[in-house]
Amino acid sequence: MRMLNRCIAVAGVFLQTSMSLAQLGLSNLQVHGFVSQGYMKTSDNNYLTMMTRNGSFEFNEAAVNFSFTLGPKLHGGIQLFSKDLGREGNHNIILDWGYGDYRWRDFLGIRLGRIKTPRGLYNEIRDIDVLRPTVLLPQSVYNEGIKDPAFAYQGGGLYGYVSIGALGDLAYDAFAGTFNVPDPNGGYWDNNFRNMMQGALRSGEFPAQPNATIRNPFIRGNRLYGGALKWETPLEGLRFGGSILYADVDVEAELELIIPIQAISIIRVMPMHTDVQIKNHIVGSCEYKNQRLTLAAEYQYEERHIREPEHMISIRADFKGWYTLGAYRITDYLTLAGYYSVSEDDDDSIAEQPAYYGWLRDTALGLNFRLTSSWIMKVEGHYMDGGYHLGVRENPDGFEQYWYLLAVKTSFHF
Amino acid sequence: MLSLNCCFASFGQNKNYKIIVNAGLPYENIERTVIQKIFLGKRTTWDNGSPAIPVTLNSRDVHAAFLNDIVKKSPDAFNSLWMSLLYTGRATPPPSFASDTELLMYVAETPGAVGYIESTTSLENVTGIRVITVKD
Repeated sequence: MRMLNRCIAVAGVFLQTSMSLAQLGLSNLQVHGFVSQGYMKTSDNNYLTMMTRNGSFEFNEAAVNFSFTLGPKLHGGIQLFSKDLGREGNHNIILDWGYGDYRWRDFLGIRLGRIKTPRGLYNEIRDIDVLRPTVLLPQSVYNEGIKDPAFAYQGGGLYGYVSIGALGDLAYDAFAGTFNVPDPNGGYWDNNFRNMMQGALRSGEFPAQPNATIRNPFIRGNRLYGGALKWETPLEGLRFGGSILYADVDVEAELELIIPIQAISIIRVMPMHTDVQIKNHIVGSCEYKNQRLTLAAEYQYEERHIREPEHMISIRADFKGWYTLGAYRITDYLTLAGYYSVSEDDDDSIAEQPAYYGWLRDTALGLNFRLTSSWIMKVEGHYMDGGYHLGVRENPDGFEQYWYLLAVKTSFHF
Repeated sequence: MLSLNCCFASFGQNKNYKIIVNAGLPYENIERTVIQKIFLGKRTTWDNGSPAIPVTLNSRDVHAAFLNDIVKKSPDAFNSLWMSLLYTGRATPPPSFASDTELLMYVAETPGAVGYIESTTSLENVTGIRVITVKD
């Protein structure tokens, strides 16, 4: 009886909403969505917060979006999104994006609301499996570890297309706002932040406290602003792009100190307030596409400045990453795709770890099957060299340098 | 616009499709790149400032031929492009019709609309639309 009442209530809300939308002239409301489910298995090392050494199905996404137009210049919509990626997401439903868009002219439009961050070739579609050429995007540029500031923001943006005559076309975006960290108590931020802070503490940045540890981080996103530019050249299918963004993050945590006093040790816990600034987060892109072939390459550079003045911690960690990707459509139903991706961290504060903890070289190759117009399946294998992007919490005994990964994923869209 | 394919002086009337526009538009010849940008969502207005409304046909052969010649994309690439715009909120896909008759009616009734139909489709007694030629 309770379920029947809930169904009647939901139907009533839907009917009322549709009638209201029709009165507003929004009878062209469109509803679309997708569902994806994957599986990942690694030979060594647990990856992306999943326990992949045992094989993991904690790898899925689902979304539904509602979009409408109010005349030729104004449109809007929202997309609700749910994902599970190991300790990330856990099927919590979030507002993926929701904004209004007024396109005054082709060369100038404005968007206001929660908007996907324009960055690189694939950032805006990185969570949409049906649009990705591979199961996993190269982590060198599309790092799941610090995805949040690069994922979406709340604020506003200007955009447009400008023809430059015989030289082709330019597409630009400029944006500013704030961003959220959906899982402020853990997830991948936890791993990345812990790695950086633990390294800083053990390297002597924090005077005379080699056994200090970080506990219970709470992460809050602040400002984010930047821009992106794409040049579509006169050669059909060839384009170049560049983007830059800046972001601020506050991290509240506890610093646990072990203080030896004669024959005993005292544990002291102190609050920490850490400011993380992501500066000059730059992505350079190049892509060529024709009817069957896609070739792409991207390079990312980023500066991370971490300051905790009360405990005299000041770290700068520069990150570099790049990849090259190729995909060839063998038939209308079968595509071969692969990439080589390199991630490197210049953080010298992590002094006691093996050198390979500072890089990850990923060689991937896979197949993409278009089973129907709305259903695809992908399978790919990876050969990995390095430990970067791996999490300490999932791998408490350390990382193996050479390891393999198998990823399989299927997706439906409507 | 350079292309790795051969260039022709005009398109449309030499292929198995005809390109049509709403009769309210003052054009008889349109550059291929203008129509290409409209169907890729990069351009939303005609030169006279009126809204440009692209319309597609579900017919596999005609749709593929039009996309290959004018838009320079395969049907899969075209669908992927519009899906990326849809799932990021940037735009909604163009209206799509199962038959030439439905598409003709829509273009005739919609100011600024542009679409394509089979070249063998008779336009006798059809009002409100104009067949155009496309130049490279």
